[in-house]
Amino acid sequence: MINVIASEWLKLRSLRSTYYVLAATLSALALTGFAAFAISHYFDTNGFGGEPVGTGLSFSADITPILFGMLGVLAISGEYGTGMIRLTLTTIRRPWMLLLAKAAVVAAVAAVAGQVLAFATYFTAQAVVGGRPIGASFSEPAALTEVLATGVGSAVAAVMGLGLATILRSTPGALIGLVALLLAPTGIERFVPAPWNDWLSSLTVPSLTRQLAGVPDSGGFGPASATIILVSYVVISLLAATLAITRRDA
Amino acid sequence: MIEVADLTKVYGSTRAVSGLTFHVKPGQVTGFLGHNGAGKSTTMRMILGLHAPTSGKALINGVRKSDLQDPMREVGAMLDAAEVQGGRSAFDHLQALAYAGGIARGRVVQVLEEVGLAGAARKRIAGFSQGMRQRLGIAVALLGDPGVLILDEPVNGLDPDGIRWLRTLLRSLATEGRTVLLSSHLMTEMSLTADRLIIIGHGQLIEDTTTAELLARFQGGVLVRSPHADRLARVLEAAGATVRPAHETGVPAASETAVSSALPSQAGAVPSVLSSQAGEELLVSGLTAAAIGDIALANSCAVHELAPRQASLEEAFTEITK
Repeated sequence: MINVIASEWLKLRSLRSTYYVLAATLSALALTGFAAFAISHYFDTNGFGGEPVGTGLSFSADITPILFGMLGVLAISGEYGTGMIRLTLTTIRRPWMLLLAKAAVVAAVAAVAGQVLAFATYFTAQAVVGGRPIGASFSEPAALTEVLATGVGSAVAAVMGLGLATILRSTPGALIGLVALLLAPTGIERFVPAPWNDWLSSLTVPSLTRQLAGVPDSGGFGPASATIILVSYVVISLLAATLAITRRDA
Repeated sequence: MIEVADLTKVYGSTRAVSGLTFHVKPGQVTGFLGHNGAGKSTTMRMILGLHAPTSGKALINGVRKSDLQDPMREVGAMLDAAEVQGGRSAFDHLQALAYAGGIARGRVVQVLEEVGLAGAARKRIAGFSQGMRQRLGIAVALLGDPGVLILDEPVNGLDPDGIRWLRTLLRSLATEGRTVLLSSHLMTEMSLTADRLIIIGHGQLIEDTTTAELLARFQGGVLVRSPHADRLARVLEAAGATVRPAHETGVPAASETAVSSALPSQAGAVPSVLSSQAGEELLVSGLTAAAIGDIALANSCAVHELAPRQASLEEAFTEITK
């Protein structure tokens, strides 16, 4: 199993697309900086009353899971697109080993990169805010945990992307599916009556990440429930993908 | 050792492979022949556990591919050399697969040298020619130093030097006691490389024989051209031979075959010139060229051409798969 993980790690880091996706996640910093700047400007002219910047993570919270999900998608959709998956499958004992190895690799990369990005986002927001009382210091409740939970959310999104791409076997299909899956609850929520709308929006990965960190007013679940739901997303993605890769002819 | 027993694969309403049974023995090169769409690739994919058979079984070293404990060291495969991710370098491509099989880095360097890609190891596969990709595919198959090799159309895209190189390589791998199965739709190439031939058509087994036996079976008579064809035909038949007018049988004269294979671009023009002076050609089987010449002399029949006709494997293939 370690061998297959080593193999997948080399595969991931020897493709340019990996670096393009990771570079694209840096757009979160620009977005955060811009939002924090706009809010700071509002504060300077109007004082309190506007939205606070807080940790600064909320501005890019919907985008980063999509980008890390893309990392998971590309980890296998490229093999399906070229047909290399057949070669890969002849070299390993069981298809599920391949999926598990890919999942471990993309989850680890997404967790680390997501974590680094979360800290960078936080510090970018605080730097732009400067001394204004609209930021969030790590001494405030849930500020540090919110940053720390973002890495977890990124990893979950990456595994979901991997699972989706394994089932759909197509890069564009999986990317569309990923965006739909991650953002659909936010879109549908408006048309669903209360309290189901809140429940639905609490099920998105960004929202679960905040609930995992215990951020106040972040959704209907506590950290424990949020953990269970995030874990079940991972398990469901991997089980469905294993079923697909095992049952279908390659 | 590869064993295929009553293997059947049905896709929807199409029977891609139907009740196929054959064994591929170690120590020899086995050619797997059939026209495009005959079911060669499907069969190979089933042997490699990529496609599940509808019924029957395909075994490598006595077990199914999924039951091999160390697949890369037992079976090496090349399915389609184009099926690689072009963004990776040849070295990374091989190294990634080597990691999966727990194969040492030194072996990667070794196979790159063996297939003649050592100089291009750090280049991206996207820039490779078809022949280079083919070599890379063969390198992958050799990576685990496996006892069984399954190669789908390995000759495609190789230049004449490459084909010769591959032929030598496959022969030496078989001599080492390995099982070598390679598919092709090129009969002539197979006759030079394979000891044994498994020929399929429409997913069914047509022939499972040695190359020598197949060649011998389709050894096609002697071509005789004579101004006294009618008389000669009678005396030859009296001597126990079977005589047919060469052109009526639709079998091209030896001279035409030689010309058209040597000058394919002019193949259309030349035979018409030849056939204008023909019409006196006989295809004689059952007698040697020497015996025919003696009989012709004894009966005062002038002979203008006396050519033993070596049936090409390509003709045999066409005949068999009709």
